[in-house]
Amino acid sequence: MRRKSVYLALVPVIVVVCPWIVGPFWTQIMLLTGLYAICILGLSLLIGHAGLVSLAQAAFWGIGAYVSAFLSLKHGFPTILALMSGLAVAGIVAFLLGWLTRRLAGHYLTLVTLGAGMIMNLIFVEESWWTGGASGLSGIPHLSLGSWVIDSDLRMYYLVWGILGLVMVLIWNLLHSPWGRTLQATRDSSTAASATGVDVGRFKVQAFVASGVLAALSGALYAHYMTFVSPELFSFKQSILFLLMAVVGGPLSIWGPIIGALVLTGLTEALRSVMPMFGTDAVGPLETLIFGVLLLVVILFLPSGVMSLPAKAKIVRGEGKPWRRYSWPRT
Amino acid sequence: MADTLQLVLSGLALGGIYALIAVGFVTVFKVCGLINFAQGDFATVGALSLAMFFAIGLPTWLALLGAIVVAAIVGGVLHRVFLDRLRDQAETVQIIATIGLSIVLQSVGQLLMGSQPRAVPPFLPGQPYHLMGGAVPRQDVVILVAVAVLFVLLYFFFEKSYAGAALRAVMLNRDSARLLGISARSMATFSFIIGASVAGLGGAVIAPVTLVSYDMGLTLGLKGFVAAVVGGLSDVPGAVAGAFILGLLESVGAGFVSSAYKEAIAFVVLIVILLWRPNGLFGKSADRV
Repeated sequence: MRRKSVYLALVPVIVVVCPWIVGPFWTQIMLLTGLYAICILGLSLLIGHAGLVSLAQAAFWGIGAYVSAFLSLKHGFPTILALMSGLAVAGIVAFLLGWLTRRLAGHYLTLVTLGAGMIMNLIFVEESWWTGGASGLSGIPHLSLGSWVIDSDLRMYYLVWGILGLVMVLIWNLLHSPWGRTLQATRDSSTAASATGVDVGRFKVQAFVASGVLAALSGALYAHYMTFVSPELFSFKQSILFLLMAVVGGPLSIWGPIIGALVLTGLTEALRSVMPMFGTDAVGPLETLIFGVLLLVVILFLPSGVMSLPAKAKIVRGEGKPWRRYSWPRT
Repeated sequence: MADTLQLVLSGLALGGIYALIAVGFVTVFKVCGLINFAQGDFATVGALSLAMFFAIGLPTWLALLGAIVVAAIVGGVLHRVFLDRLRDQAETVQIIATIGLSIVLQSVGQLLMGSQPRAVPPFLPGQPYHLMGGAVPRQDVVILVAVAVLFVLLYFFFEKSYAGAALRAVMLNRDSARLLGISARSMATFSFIIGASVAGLGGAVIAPVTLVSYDMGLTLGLKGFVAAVVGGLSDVPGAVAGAFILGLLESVGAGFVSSAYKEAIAFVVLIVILLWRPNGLFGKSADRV
């Protein structure tokens, strides 16, 4: 236990000194990792702890990005206020979607979220008065607090990882609260949970809202960092990338999202530098193919993600309990 | 009158395609208990193979047959080497696995044919037929004929053949079927082969109308699923009826809403059905799903 606390105390130190050691290129990758991890934490909450696979996560990511970009760019809102509005809109949309589908689970819900994501993407393309249509919005202002503008990678890195740290603490506490236990109970057996008086639908809606707001937070940060958004950033393909990040890291662990985001962001960058050797035309499909195969391999051989490896190793060594914590519940 | 007839006929043709996808959903769901997210991509496999067989100069009927065979092989092999291993896993894992399959099929398609949609010549070249003052494209007629022939064949297969009876037995009760010596595993693969070949036919016959593109399966799959849900997801005639209802709604509804949001109709239908009658329009009780 004490060794664990020492490790935990080391993490913030590593995060703080990391940019000074790895250099500007990797700082950028770590920044994106942290950014995605915020979104993946939300998705993991939904997939791992509520047992609901959502394919609309990229659309919520997009709502955060577009609303915040639109308000700060076209209406001159202070960026913080614009960001908050993005979260609020995403929260409302997530509530509506969650409330409509509160009785659904499994395949039904996944297909509904797939459809919802496609519709939201259609809105980003068609409603060009606020989204800029297919060409998107550019020149989005950087985040700022008074005169303090977050316009460098280093500042953004610290902001993103600071927020990520807060979100992790929040989620960890949520999952270890009665609310989290109940959510997991509804996942393991919604019949048993509702028999003990739990309003299963309400918990699902709450998980949906939490997940959507986290996605929007990540999306708004992304928009103000990149200063550019366009509809294809929030497409089905991006939702799959998020799903892959969640699955690779392990959606049942609080550290999984960071591992998944790091692996996939690193892989994307690595592919981008290797791809020109194969001719630039093939970058898109080959990248998607590699991600698809990776998703299949992980789900076949390591369905609970990288974070289940230490627990698995313990079992191989004959120590510890069977890996309950990191394995998918079988319903 | 002529316009209405034209809308209805194109709606029926659209519905026929959705029916082909929906039948695959229902067959696989009843035998394996899982919704295959790659179902729509089997249609892409069919359309893409058809385009390739046309490119090497095969006659239409041979290219069509080839497209169905390729889709069937892809479906069977994917189930045997991959999905079969996951049959004891959690539902969440199975969902993610078929999503992965869908991605792989799409990107392989994109690698083979590029991102540009590809045109396929119509099966019956020539002017549209004239019927009661309306013009009916020839390919719509081809689609409707193909769908009708296929459903007659499927009916005889399920009702009259031994394999069809075995498949129905597994659908009714997997454990009892096992006791009777029917291999549930073979039947699961078989259901995938049927689902894939039927969807492959759908993709092939719609190819001259919509062009062949690597991601055509995504929307087709979603529409097929909506059709299956309208029918209750457990009954083939219901799914077919659901598909025609959806096709007609889309064809007629496109005139009322902007054509850009035509795609949203299926989604609205899905939500309404799942909220109002989770067991489908023709389902008996309205239990929670």
